Amino acid sequence: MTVLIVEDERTLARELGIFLHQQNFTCTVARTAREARTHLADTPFDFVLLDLGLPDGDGLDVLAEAKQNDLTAAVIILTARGAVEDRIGGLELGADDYLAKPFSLPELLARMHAITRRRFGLHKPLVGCGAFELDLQTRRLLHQGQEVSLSVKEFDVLSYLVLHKNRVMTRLQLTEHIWGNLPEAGFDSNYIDAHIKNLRKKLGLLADVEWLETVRGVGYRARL
Amino acid sequence: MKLSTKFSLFNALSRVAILLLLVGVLPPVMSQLALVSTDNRLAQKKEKVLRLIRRNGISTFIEGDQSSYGSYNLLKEEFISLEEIPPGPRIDVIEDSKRAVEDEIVEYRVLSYSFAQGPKYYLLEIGRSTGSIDETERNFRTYAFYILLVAVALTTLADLAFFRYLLEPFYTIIRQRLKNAHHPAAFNFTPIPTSTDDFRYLDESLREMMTTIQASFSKERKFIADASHELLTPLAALQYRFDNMLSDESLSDENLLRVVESQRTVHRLRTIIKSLLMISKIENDQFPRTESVSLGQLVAEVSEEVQDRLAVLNLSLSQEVQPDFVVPAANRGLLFTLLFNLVSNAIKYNREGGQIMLLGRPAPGGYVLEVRDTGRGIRKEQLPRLFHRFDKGSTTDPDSYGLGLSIVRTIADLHGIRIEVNSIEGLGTSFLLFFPAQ
Repeated sequence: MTVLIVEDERTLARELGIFLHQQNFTCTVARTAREARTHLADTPFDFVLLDLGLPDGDGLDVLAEAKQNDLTAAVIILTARGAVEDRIGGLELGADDYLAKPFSLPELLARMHAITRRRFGLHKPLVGCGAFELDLQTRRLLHQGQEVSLSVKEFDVLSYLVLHKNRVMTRLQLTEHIWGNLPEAGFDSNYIDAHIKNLRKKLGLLADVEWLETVRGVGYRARL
Repeated sequence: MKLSTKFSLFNALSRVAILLLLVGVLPPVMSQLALVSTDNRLAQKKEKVLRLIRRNGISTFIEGDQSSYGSYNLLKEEFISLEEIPPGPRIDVIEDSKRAVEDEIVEYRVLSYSFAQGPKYYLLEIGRSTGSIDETERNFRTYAFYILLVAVALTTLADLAFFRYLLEPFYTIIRQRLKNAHHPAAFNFTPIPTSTDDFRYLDESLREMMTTIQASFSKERKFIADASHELLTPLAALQYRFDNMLSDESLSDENLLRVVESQRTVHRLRTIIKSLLMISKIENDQFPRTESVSLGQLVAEVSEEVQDRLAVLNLSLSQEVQPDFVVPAANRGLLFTLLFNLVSNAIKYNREGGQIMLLGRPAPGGYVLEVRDTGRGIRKEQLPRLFHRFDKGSTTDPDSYGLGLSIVRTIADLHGIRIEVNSIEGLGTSFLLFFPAQ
């Protein structure tokens, strides 16, 4: 999949590029609104990650123009401006999602996967994890075709780990995914630990859950 | 007291003072005048009588063997008497004297005048009842009093109406420029029509001040936007770098832990900056308040959001918002954050198996929503500082930045919600949110 990263901050663009490259995306970076317009006119992208505060213009203008020119790419607005109007304006202009900087890169990937499932229908109907299968569309966990009862948050934790399989997910990253950006949401790793404990208990009754690993002091990993 | 009322009151009082002065001063003046005019009249009558006597002789009045003449008018208001007297010193006086008239003592102003007519001496007395003088005086005083009273009332009302009309632009300036100007972004710069130079000057000065305020407000708004960008961008760079480092499988466990610690520090910084920016944005009215928010629904949403955390700590949450209350002109997201932060604290500082109650009920002048918990409570000396920024009180939570309640207070202020906190150490805490009536 091809991604256009529209970001004027060199470091951010590079780190984003490294991360997405690891996830098998092909990335192009535009540092100005003008460069972004040129790239969008030349190449069809699957994703556009759009920063709003560009040195030579507003990212929202770039988005509006691109949409007028029948842009088909999925657009995620990434901005530190964080004004409510930006969020509303961006979504009204047809952006698919909005992330306020700074966000965690796995969170960005999760959003991109969600958009892919929604827009391009490129989802595997079922994702395997050990003896279980996750149905991301219907948000169900199945064991031998039978649904395993999970709470909303338990499903979120499990699907996030499975989505980033074989990568250590820190408690912080998991918390952010579950709680989003509520200020003072009371980041507390105990909740994540409690959810993992419940998941192990529920899944362990049906099959082996060795693949759900604890990485001491860091977080958890779905070794699949 | 309104300026127009003060003006009118002053005028009315000054008129009343003049009235009282007149009522006080007039009677003696009037009675003096009445006395002088009576005395003149008596003197004129004396001259008339003397002329008659000179022309027609004394016999016109005193006939034959009579030695005196007396005549009263019908109501005994005036009398005239003429009597022969033995020779003596000349009398020519006007004085008050009481006379008995048909079993009645009447007070008269009497002119006594002695004169010689041939060989005989006569005393002429002409009297005028002082009662009639007093009555004239009384009548005059009463009418004067009523006329002046009516004049005071009418002119006071006229003053009041005129001052109202005169000060109308002033009140419009107060209403439009000061009272209804809720936020610099919504300032109305239309000049207020007035023909009074002073008010025009006041309006112009206020508009100049509003322009300055609006400019500094815009500057601050821009600063917030710039600051959030400039502060959060390097943080984002750090965060992405740590995220990428974490996915490096060659990283040793020791370094992995270091990265996680660094990530936590970045998260901490980020949360603080975001919270401060949020407070700043709320204070700068950058959140539109255009929604009507049902408290019942809001309570249900927040309860739903914290269900899993309740389960982990084995807490029970009950909600009773009866009847429901709709907050007009509100920002749903902000109200959610306010309630969520309070409920988060109720969870964080509760005890294993404790309770949280969300209770809504009508209250005098509006509605009250209570967030009550059975937690550890708050120390008395901590209560006044509860909403201060970065005041973590007695919390030992390393992830508390002391900004949650500060955000709560800022959102409450924006919506005109009054907060009251009651707490008993060891028993629990109750946050009462008073919503003003619609």
